Amino acid sequence: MSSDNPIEIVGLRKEYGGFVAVDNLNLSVKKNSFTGFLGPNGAGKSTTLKILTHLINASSGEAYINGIDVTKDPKAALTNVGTVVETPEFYPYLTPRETLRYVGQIIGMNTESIKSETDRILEKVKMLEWEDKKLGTFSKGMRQRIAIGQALMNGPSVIILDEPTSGLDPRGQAEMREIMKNLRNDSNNLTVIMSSHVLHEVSDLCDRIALINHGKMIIQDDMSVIEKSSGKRRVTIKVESTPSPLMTHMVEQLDNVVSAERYGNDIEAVVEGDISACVKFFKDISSLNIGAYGVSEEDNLETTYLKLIKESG
Amino acid sequence: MYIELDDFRQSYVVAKNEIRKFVRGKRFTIYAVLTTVVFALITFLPYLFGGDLGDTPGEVIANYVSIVDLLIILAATLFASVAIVSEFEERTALILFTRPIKKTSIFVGKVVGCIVLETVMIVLFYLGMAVASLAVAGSVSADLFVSLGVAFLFVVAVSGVAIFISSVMKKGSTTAILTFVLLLLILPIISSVISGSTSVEPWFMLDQASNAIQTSIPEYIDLVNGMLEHAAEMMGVSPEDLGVITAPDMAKTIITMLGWSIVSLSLAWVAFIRREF
Repeated sequence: MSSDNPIEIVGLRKEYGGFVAVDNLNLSVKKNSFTGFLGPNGAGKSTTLKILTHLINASSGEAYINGIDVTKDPKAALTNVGTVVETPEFYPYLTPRETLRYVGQIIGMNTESIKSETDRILEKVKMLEWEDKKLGTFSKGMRQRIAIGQALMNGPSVIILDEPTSGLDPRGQAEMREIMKNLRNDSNNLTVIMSSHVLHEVSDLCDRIALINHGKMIIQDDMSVIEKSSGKRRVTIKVESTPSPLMTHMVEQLDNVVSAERYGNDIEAVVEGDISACVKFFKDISSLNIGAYGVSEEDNLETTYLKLIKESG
Repeated sequence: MYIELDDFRQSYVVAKNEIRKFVRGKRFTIYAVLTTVVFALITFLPYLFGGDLGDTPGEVIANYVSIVDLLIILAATLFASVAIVSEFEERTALILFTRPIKKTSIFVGKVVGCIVLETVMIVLFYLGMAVASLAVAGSVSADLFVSLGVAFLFVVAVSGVAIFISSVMKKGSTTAILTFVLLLLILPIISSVISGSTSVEPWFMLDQASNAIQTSIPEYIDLVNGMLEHAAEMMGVSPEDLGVITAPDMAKTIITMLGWSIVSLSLAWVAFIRREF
């Protein structure tokens, strides 16, 4: 297996009775990348990540982490790997410090390392002031921060995250995103794969994307390449008064505009073409007498995601 | 499959956590209070009604041993029956199982943790019996240690059964009820049917083997047979018709206990290894 790809999945298949959840899946996660693992519900994301973390067994195929096939030697493959699968629960009778100590003991760290690592991690996930309180009393957001914390024990080189912000309130999601952002910015030698349904979160955090549907890989590439692949950009035009049908029609008639419609007090347009097409569009909007005072580009990943999922059936 | 020294170290860590889990939980408090109340009732109730615990060490112990198998079944129901299923039901498996640890190490740690905790509880009960024997009769009968040995084998066997049920079931509450009903009702019913409708002696049944916890104390046999004789006299039948009890066949007892332990734990291990989240 290539040393540039800490995670390498080859011909992976998982069947439940007659249902194929993962179908001959191939995936390479580049070293030091933050890869977003996307797909609609039931696409096979969680199944793939559960095979990678040895929670379920593959029907066939190989799944390598740091060059070791997790389907053959899960203990060796999961050494140096941190995981947060779905929303895990903790032993409610343990405190965050005891939980991290337990994980540290399982992975074979000595007492001194456990202590220093626990201090570092509790600070990183902002749980120092709660370190000696029982986890049974914690909110979901706090427990998820501990989940990230235990995944960081002993400085893993690979982290696997399965919908880490799922089920959290907006504040909890923002806190988790901040922790993950810090993780990305602070670590030089860390490879992360993260499944998520929250596309703006993926846009914000990830530099690579792997998109699957019906258990099959649709595309895997750099975020910038994937975002451009649809060739379309969704833009929002802010106008000083409520947009009239005439104003929307005028926008729709501009060059490179595929569609335009009123969206609340704004006009949302889909623009086709490269950067020069966008430059022309911005100029045209300025010269159009509709009272436009701002133009912003929306999340292109969503447009591309929907297009690719539609194409893949 | 290969075994490393680190696998045993990890099993030890899991076992320690398992014991801590139970000791800090409500089930342990309930069990400790219940055992203490039972012990106090057996000890003080006879004196409250003008009786006593007996004159010899064996007679004193005979008062207590009749309850030991029930205490062990209760311990297996409260602790061993939830050891595996709770990891899946409460989603703690998502933390433990995704670490670099073999499933067998987790299994061994959980089994050892349950057995150690249950054994400690039973040893404490026997320690209480020994203290009562010393206080009342001035010495401790060696038969107490034989009974304790059988009780330990019973702890392992019923824990094996409970852990097997825990490995295949989805809900902790169902597992606990099933374990309790199986050990306390279903197995004795099967034994009774076998001995009543066939000529086969059901010595290989777990409930029958567990009788040795009591029948290893000769004074217990005398006590029960004395009551049976009295009942037979009143009913106008021979004591044999009511089924007098005899000293246990220790070889059969040990074989039965070990057999149930090995089979149930092996099945539990296979079920656990194959189980997916």
